[in-house]
Amino acid sequence: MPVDYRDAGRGRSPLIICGLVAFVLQVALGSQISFFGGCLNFMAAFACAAALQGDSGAAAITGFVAGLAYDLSATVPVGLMALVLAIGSYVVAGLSAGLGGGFSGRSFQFLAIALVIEMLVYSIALVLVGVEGDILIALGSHGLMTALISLVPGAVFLVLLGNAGGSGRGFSARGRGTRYKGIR
Amino acid sequence: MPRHQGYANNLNPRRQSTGLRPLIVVCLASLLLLTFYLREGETGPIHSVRGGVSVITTPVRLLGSAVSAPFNALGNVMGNLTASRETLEELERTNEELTARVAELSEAEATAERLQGLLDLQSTYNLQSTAARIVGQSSDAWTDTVTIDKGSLDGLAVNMPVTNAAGVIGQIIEVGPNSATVRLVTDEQSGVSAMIQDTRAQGMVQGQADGTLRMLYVSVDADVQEGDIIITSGLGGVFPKGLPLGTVASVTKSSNDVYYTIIVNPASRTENNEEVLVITSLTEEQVATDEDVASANATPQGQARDAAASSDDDASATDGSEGGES
Repeated sequence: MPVDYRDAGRGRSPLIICGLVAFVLQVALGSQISFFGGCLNFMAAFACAAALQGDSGAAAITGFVAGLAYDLSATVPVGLMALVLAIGSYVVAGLSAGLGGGFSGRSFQFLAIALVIEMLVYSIALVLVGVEGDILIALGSHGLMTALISLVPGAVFLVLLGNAGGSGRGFSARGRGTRYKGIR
Repeated sequence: MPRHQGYANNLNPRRQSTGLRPLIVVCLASLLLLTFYLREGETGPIHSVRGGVSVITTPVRLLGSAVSAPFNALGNVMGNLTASRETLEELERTNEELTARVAELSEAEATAERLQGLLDLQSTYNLQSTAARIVGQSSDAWTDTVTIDKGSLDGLAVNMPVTNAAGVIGQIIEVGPNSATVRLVTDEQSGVSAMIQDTRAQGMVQGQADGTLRMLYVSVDADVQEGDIIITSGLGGVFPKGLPLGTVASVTKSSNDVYYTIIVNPASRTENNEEVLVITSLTEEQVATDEDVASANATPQGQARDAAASSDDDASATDGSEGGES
């Protein structure tokens, strides 16, 4: 079944818009809102929600770009969040194949598990590179709480990207019955 | 040949991409970035790129700060409501001690208003400084930093110390043209040469993950008590000597330890829109002299509290020149 390759570029616009919104929110509000040691991580939430929409390769790239944007906007080692989100998004996209891009209990469950695991892995990585000293506080107070409060924007991104995908404007062609993109 | 025929080939299951290639590419890119970041200096290309991003995003940060300012006050109220009675009593006691201490110091009599306190601090220490305003806290949960609204165009540079009316808050680690990032003393990666004000026992204050400070390398021969005031020693050459860092919250030692385990409550807390002073240069009297260094090396444990109290003239002269500035 041939796919119009022109749809690929046009279909990415909701993803790009959501990504830009996530970055602006990350810069503007990420530094202002904290809860029990956790801070809102809009970029991780966006990357996870995007991974639930598309194929693995695109998800890995989206995760990398989102993570890099986060790294450059915060005082953390550059490349670390990019690595974690790239791998995490790839795995999430692979595991959630056939789930459908929209908001559902199952997709939210995926989002929650992915965010928690990604933030915990990131916390451990920060301990390993010497940014964090106490692994318990890094995991419990910072990593876990960041994942939990980031679920809220994650759910919003899930709804937004799911709606865009459902109307045939998602960043994959799944809404029209295939997971294959127009251009490889 | 129609273009879509080429795409039809991609649907062949044998050639179906699993997306592994993009993953490998981005993973390699991430690892390279991370390696370069960890190995390059503060002025390396990746740090420069981040500085550029910081410059571009400063207006957005300012907007976010302005939008969230009313909610910060609400957060403080909620924090006070949920604080335990023990914490509140301790805070009240600490506040009383600090208030009493500040009242004793002629140069810091008027601290009711934050800006007035800053001006007092500036005049008290004769600080060559620039006033700035905090426009954002750490955008991640793992580091303790704030962003201020002044940068290299205002004469700021990396490593400059930053204070508020209560004392040292941190040190600039990144600077852009119109903003700078300050690593707070409570960050785990921070370290400040410090001493106990009463006994002059030397040590180093480092941040901890729970927001308190830990004073390291204080010999068990030193006289340390809860409530002792910790000030900067000036030995590091970055911070002027005599600035308050905090008060000793607890002192413990095990039987075979050579150093105390000292937990310090930081003197200053940072809030959004708070004014701070960036110390742009130190005068000669603010830097530790060779005599100070020799004295610190000779008697790192300081002197006995009683001896310090009995030798009124010498001690008061010493405290007058250093403690008086605090």
